[in-house]
Amino acid sequence: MAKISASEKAAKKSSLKRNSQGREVWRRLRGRKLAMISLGAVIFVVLIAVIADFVYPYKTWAIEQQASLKLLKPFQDWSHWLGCDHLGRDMGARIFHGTRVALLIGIGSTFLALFLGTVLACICALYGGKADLIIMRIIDILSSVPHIIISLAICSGLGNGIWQLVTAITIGGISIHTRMVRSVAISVAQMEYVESSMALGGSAGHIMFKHLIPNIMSIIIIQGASNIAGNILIVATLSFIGLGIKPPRPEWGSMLNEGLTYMMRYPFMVFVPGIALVFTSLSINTFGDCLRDAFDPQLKGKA
Amino acid sequence: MSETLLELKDLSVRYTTDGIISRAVNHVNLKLNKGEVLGLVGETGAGKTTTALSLLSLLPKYTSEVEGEILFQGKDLLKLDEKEIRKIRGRHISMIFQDPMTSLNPVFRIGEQIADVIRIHNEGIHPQEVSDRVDSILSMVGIPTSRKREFPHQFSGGMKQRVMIAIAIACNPDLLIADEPTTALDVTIQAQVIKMMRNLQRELHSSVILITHDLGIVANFCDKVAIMYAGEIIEYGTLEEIFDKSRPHHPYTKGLFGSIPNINEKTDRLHPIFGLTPHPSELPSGCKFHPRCPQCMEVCKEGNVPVYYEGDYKCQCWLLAGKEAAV
Amino acid sequence: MSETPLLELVHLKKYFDNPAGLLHAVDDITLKLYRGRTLGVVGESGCGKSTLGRTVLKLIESTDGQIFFKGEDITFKKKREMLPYRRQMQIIFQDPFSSLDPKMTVSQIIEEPLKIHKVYAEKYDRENRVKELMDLVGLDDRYVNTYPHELDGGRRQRIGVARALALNPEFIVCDEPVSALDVSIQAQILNLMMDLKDQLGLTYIFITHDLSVVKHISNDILVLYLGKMAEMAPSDRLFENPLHPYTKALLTAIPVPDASYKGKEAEVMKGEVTSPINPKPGCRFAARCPFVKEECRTVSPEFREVEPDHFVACHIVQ
Repeated sequence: MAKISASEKAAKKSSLKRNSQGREVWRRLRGRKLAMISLGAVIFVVLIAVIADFVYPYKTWAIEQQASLKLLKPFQDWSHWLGCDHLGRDMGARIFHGTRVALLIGIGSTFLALFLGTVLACICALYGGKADLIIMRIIDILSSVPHIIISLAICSGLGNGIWQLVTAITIGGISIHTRMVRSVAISVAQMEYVESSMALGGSAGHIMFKHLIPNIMSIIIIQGASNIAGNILIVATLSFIGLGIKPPRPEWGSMLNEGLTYMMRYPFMVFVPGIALVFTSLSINTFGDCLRDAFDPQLKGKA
Repeated sequence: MSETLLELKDLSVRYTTDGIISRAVNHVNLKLNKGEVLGLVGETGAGKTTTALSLLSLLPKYTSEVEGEILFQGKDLLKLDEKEIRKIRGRHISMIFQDPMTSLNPVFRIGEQIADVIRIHNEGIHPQEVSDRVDSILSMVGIPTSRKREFPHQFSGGMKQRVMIAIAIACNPDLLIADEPTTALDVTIQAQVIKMMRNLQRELHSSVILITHDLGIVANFCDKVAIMYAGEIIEYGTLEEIFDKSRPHHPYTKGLFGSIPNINEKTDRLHPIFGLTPHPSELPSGCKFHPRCPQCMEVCKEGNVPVYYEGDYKCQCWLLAGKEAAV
Repeated sequence: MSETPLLELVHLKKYFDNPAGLLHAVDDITLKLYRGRTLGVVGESGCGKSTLGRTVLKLIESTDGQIFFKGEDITFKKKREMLPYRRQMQIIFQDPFSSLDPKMTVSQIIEEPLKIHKVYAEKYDRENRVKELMDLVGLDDRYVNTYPHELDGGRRQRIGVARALALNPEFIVCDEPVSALDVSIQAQILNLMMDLKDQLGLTYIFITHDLSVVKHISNDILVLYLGKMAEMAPSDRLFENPLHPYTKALLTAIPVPDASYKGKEAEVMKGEVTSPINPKPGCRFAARCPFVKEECRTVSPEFREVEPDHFVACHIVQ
């Protein structure tokens, strides 16, 4: 063996460093400007939610009101740079704390719905037959009731609050996720490596966590990323019609609702929460799209 | 009789993906006479299909680069524009693909799919004449004409491949390229299809390029054989020349014959070729086969390999180099 | 012959419920397989050979009949009770692309069986075993951390073989292990499997559609047609003296790589495989058989021993 061929060299290199999919996806993401910008925006939003308590301590800034600051316009007083609302509460503080609520519910409900949906989908794919039939019929029933109505029912039954909202949105989301993940999980479950694992004596749990989930993870991540923004909008919608978060807890939807009355003379009252909402959902959605392209470059431009 | 139909002169095809250059076909010279059946033999990645696709200009436009000449009835196909090449496709050169399951459109009746090809290449043809021709073609490939109103999913694999062949010969092409036409079929069905193709070829006097990895099918069907390895034709000759074990051969050809389990011989162990086919993006220097060759010499490792000619027979190997005028 | 067969099938049947009716995938298979032997199972697509392999391993529940492994009836063993048997019986798949999890590295794939059965307590021992297995199947050490998609078909199939061997099984079902590979690689893998058999004393059921492949590796050959046993005989005898018309047709249909066969009109069998859904009574091959008699269409031929060890199911064979 005088010479080592290039393929052997490549093999040698890769035996040192694992070419995992995560690395590959990150490499593709880094190559796209839009992906980096939207990722930056997402990080920015998350950062705001994290620092909200330090910048604007909740009690003093968001709840306490100062009558003298009523309807203060933005950029006039730099300690209240986003202005104050009709009760004299600082808009910036409310937006920051609103971000926290929005992300908490958006991410929380997406995560829960995806988790439950994935478990159900994997059960369908692995056991098939009756289990599949029963789960899918329940999902059919769930999905035939409009999302908003489920949320309405839960909120009116359990009252307003973050956890009630998360529950409501999660239940609405399960059906979509189960269907989506199930179709992919079934095709993975039919692969011979799953059969081989059965032949080796692997239990259902082993197959689910070692083979099924790692192979559908990319779908789950993509699905999740694009779902968060949608859920944030649902929270805002519910709060806007008075079913979501109860004031005085700041929430973008309810802020929009309050601003409605003053919209003609003080348009900043709707613009500020509106822009926050659009910015957040746009950056999360864009990043979700970029993530999908990075996971599956062949799909780019299609679908 | 021995009129040249197709001639490839120094044909090379390169693919570029993600900045990696794959040399799929390298300086192929090949001649095909009218009425001749050529077997193009090689393993995965040898460049067989790429060669065939380049004849029809079906290679992906933006990632592939073709050099050399493809003379078909004296015309260089590489110089034609898209409109002119479309007239050649189907009418003069047609192709049968490997997988009959995905090559037919599932939403059209098979009679309609055959009629389509006839209509494309004969503008203003009378509908009655189209339907007559569909009937006669179907009976030629052994499908009852009563089945022409059926859809592809109602046909078995072997029958679908017959439909594919019917579409390919619908315009009585001068050259038929069959890319592994029977690989997806069962042996008994394969035998039927090969027999039918052989009869058709005799009837229509068309030339055929049969791409396969199965030397058994080649022995059954072909007049000339070209063995491809790593994008090069390493040995070419008549069927008798290539299959004659008493003649000297390229070590790869010998290896190929050694690896097939022969039904008529009793052996305990097969004689595989060691190592792997190189990827077209990282071909070795010198003779492309030298890292796997059991008879590798120092000269094989660098530089060009001489071609040994004997009439039409040629073999690209240093082992035969001293025997006669090398070029 | 007082030795207990390693595997014994008694009237094994597997029918699938299909919208169009009952699909007879495996129909009444009775056979004995002794330790260290290789049984080649040959047939065309849809003859139930893959279903047979999976039913034997209880990856699919059988409809009727019994499976004995080392003399013990495993037909109705539950999943948990099968676990000790799983160590002794394995499968190698046809497609080296779909049979390996793309998200696992070579070492993760090979050590999966070791982890499921908790063979080694120490990670160090497990890693050593993986190296040992890779060595056994001729895979270089440096591929330990590569992913399957970075390797070619031949190497991937070697990974599949290594995984099957990890638990030291005695019995392996090989489901077309070489038909997705190139000829030169095919020969490498076939040789490897023959070497492993001699070295480790394995017993194979070797499923294939290619008679020429099976000739080299099998002691006995079973020819299946539409789920039924057509002929079974020691390998040499089957090739020298095939009795069933279907076996004969299969043998003549194989193209021989020899120039003297050029243009020779081999006898080509007419027709195609009929549907295995709700098959009619009588011989399944009757529709294509050139020697068909009235009896063939009504009465199912019995699978009987015509010569010692040579079984055939045909009315014509005396």
